[in-house]
Amino acid sequence: MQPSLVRRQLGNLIPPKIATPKLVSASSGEGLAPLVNFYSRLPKGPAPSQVGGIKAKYFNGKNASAAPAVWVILGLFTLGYTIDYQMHLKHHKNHPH
Amino acid sequence: MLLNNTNLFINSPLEQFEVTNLLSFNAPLFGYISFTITNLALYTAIIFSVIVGLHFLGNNDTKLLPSKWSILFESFFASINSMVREQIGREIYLPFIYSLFFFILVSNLVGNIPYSFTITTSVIVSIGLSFTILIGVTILGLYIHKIHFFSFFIPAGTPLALVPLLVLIELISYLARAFSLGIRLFANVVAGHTLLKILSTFLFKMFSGGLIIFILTLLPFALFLAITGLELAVSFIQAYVFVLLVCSYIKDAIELH
Repeated sequence: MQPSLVRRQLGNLIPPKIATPKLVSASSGEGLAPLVNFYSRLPKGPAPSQVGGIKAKYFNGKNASAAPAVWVILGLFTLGYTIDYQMHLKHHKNHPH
Repeated sequence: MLLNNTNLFINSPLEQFEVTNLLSFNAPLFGYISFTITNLALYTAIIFSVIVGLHFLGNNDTKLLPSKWSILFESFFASINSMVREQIGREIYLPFIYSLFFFILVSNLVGNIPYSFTITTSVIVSIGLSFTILIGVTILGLYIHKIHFFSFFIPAGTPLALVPLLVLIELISYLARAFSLGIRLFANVVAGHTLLKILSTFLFKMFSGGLIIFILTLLPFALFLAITGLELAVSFIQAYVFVLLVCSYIKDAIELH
């Protein structure tokens, strides 16, 4: 059996030599500097909530409150009064009949 | 006694149900088109946004612990779900029944806000809704049972001689459902809103009639508040009754007695 053939057969079992401690951290890890630089800049701590605004403020978890319902009611009252005023209350203001 | 002269007019208590044009757009296109936004259209759009907005904001984002809003919606869902399971037995109709319930409920509740417009007090909404549903239910029955659907109009064990009469009676009672479903909703809401309008007009006159009468009026005012609470209850009950009956009509169409 030819030696090259043996090596080729074993090549399936032995992984190729890509990284050795000497290759990667040559002269005290200079090669890793960009990697360290990248990871040190990432934000730390727990991930912030994906939702914001009204949902986080008034609906989610312990923030759930009836405030949005009250605001909707107040808004609809204002809208209704404005329409009513413009449609006919305005005309009756100084001319009772 | 000096009366507050600026507010002596009394509007008709039925004026609140008027559909009025808010924004009109006429154009000499395609013959002559008239595009109008009425208060009915405006409030329908508002109700749609309220329902969709609350469901979007109140959902729980698949978190394990529910917020109070999602508990609210989940309890509504559970009640409607159990009703559909008990009445129809098939959950395929659940989305329809759920949206119908929320549409009627929110339109009734929005109508309870002073100065707003209740869309279910319009015949075109309530009767239109019930007619549409009954036509759909009839089509569903015809689709499932084909010609056998008409056996629905002949009760089991009817003597042949009585069939023409009974078919007529059953047909009328079937068609009457379409009216009664809509009129039930419409009449209850209209009656309540008219009553509130009349009472509040009286109360306004009494409250502006001097100090002693003002204090005495607090008693009927408490009664008025109770009636307002009753109106809120009616909003829920009518929405519930409407979808309950729709469930039973769908069941009738599926199972034919």
